Amino acid sequence: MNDGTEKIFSYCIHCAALCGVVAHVKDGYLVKVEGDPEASNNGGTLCPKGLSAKQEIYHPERLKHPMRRTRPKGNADPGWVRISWDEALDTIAEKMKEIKERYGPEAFFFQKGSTDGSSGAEWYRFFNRLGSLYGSPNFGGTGHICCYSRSCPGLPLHLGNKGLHPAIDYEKTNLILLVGYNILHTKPPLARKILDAQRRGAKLIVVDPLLSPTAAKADIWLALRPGTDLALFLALHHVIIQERLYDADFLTSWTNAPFLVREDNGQFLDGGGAPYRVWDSKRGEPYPADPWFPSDVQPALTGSYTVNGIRCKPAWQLFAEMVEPCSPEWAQEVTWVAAEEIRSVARLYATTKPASTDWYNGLHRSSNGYYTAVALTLLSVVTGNWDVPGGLSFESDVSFRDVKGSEFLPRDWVEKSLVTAAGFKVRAHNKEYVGPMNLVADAILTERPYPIRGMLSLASGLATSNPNSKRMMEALSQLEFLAVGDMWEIPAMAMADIVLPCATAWESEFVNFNPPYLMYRQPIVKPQHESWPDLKIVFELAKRLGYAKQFWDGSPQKAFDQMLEPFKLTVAELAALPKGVRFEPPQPRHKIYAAIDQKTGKPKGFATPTGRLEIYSEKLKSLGYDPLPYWREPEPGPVSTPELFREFPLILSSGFKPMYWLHGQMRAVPWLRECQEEPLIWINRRTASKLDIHEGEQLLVETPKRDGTVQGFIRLKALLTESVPPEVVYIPYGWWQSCESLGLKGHGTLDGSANVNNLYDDSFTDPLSGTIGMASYPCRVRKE
Amino acid sequence: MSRYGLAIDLGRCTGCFACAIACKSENSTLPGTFWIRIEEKEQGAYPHVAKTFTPMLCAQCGEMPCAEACPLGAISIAEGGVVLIDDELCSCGDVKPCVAACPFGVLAVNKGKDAYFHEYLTPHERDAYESHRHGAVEKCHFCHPRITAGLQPACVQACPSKAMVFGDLHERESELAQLVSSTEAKPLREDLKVDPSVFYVKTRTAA
Repeated sequence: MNDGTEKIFSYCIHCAALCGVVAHVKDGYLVKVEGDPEASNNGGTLCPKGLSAKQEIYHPERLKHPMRRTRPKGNADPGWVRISWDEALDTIAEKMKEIKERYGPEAFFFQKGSTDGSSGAEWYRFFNRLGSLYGSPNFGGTGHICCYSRSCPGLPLHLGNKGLHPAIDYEKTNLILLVGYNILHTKPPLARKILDAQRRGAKLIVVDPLLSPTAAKADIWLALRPGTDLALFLALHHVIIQERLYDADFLTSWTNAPFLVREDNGQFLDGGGAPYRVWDSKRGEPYPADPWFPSDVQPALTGSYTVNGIRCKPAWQLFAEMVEPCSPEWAQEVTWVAAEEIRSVARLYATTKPASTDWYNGLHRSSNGYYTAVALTLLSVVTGNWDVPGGLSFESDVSFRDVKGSEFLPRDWVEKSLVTAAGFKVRAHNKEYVGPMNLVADAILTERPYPIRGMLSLASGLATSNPNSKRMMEALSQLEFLAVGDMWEIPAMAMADIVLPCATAWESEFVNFNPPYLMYRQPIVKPQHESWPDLKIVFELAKRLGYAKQFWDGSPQKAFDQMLEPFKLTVAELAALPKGVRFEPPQPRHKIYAAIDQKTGKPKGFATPTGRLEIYSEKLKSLGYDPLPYWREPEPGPVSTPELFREFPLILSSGFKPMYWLHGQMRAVPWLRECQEEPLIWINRRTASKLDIHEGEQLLVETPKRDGTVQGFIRLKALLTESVPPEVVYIPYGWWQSCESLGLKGHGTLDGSANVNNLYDDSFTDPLSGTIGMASYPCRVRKE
Repeated sequence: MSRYGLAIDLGRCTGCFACAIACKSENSTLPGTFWIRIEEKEQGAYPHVAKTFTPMLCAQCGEMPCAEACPLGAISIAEGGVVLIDDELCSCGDVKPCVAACPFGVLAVNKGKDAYFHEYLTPHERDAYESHRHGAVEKCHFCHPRITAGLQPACVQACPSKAMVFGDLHERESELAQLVSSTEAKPLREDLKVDPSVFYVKTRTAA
């Protein structure tokens, strides 16, 4: 069909999956986007978000030009006036210099939202670089409401995984344990792979309080009380230990399970010239471990020993003692999952090889999220499913040259960061600078540990995506200077001094690995109106701040060339071919830990403090935390804060997303909005009947602060369902935007809106990761 | 002679709406008009509850109850058993006998706005939307222009779950024919004996 339509090969970057697409462009206009049948991730399929590219690009409500405020903050109408990009960027650069001079670089905050949607997963490197050159350790993101427990803070300590995400081989796995992860919708190209695995007999077990579309496909759905996943996992460990279903060889060889822990101080027993010791049951004496020991040593995993008058036990013994009271019967009381079901899942999981595990943000939006992730991943470790094909394995890093510019950061950046000042010692230890956003709001409002005076925010639902929206909006109003860039007029812009119109990912360029191609992603159409890609904004701002040299003289193409160095390719070479260059990434290598290090003659081991996988974390103990994932109730919750549940008796849960939304984005796109026009509160039919609530009725939802006074209220229509327990209501997040094309008005941000984040007091936090307790929040619901 | 058909595996459909959006993108249907939609159904009480998603689209019935009801002779069977509505002949007033006659409720009347973004139509969109007359009855035709060009219908290609299999029911070796003959593939409302070309399969039982 030669009607002048040009086919441009590209990839969709609306989520981390990177589906290959074919864009049909005619006379400079996009006609449609389809999945590319040759792309290995998606094989021609494409999800609603990617398919809707056209309605995003040509959407009439996009921001069209940079604007400046002319009325004071707090005024209902900011009095936006159109300005040039030069004026906008000159103003931002000038304010940034001024704030740095007066308060120091740490007083300026660099905020980036979801890595998806605007292709932030790509350009964030350069935004990082800008912040590093400027000298601010305060760079914010979304980890606290997204993936802290999956890849970010705790797991490096226990597993040494260095922030890589799990990547399961669904062609090899025989059991898939998914926790708080609506994967069939949120990783669209994995849907067919998981369903194929099920077709050939792999079991799908889904842990979720809600009957999500993924839970609906499960062979076994473990429907638990929100925020009690940790209790469930401890009970699974209990059964595995009681029935001796663990892999003792693996525990002995590759974990710190046999290390002797001193009863007096909880530290590992050292001695014999080594930092650790095990109890050799063959010789009946302690044996040094560095962390390795000869194969003829038979270390005890259980028991109690006295060495030089010091009483100690193997770490595994302590782990076993921790889970000893966590019987399935106990867990039934805590989690509402039947004891027999827990027992049979434990047996199935421990005896099916290989068994995989994956989890996402449903697991960790809770004050006990850190330890929950530890207990879950240790299930893989104790059953020998760690780092085996079809077990729990991690993505291999496709290594573009790092251009984040961390080397430009001031030497004391870790000490100076808000994360460290707030006492998140594990995260400081891991040198993470992505702070929970409530730290920023605190610093702005209280000026402690130091004031934050300015902020540049790109592609972020700053005000609606973070818990306690009210406090965030109040904080933003106090900033001396705020510049916000996005495709749409977002709620945070009400407090902005300068507003920047950003291009969609479809109108921007980058280089990436979109299997099987290393591709230069050219803009499929030119940016509409006066919008600019975020990447261009960062580069142009860098020039104005005097960083032209460190920003490749303002040329993204030269920067891409540097990123491509490890592949010995240039962007010009990629751009010369319609799909770029075919690239076979190295096959994921398993058991690298067992390879012998040429220098030491010993196994490479793991990047953990002990060099072994850590059943027991001495490091946590020394930082003042529990070394083991003891059960702790989620806070708030019906058990931990019963006083709040007296007046607010229902459990509010939020979280899972359908495929057609991307967090708080996309509600303005009419094709997608027709999938679901309005935000709904899911309420169990039996509960609705007691409260005399009928389908579609408008409900008022209120929640308390920590002190019992009202935190906020929102309004939504009722969806009567059996997909939530009678004690729980589910409210989806991300609803604020209008869809004028369908005649649907915006919902607002604070009281009276449909924004579930307006309902959370953000002071209930996980002391290790800083994630906020949102899984089991008290609420009350009534008809208006 | 070929007969195009479709099998939808309800064990694999996750209700993601990719089919519905792919259809919108391919056919530029008007706001509020869906040639394929998803019916969601819950059965049981928490936690013993199951959820199924059923994509609903024209079943291209051999018996064509819609055509029988059409007073203007606007509905006919094209090559491959695809049921087509002639846009020029379809001109009933507010009462649409064909819509009422369809046992599956999948005939759509264009009654919304005549475009999503009036002021921002690209030239192709203007042409595409103008091809859909307000008040006309429309429905799925298996992406007739695509299948005659040897492509899969847009919904089938897009489906992330690969829950849809399209092909020739008369071609015994086709994946579709195998699926339809070897499993408990059934059309909706088998009792009506309207000879549909769309079959529903459930390859495995959800919990």
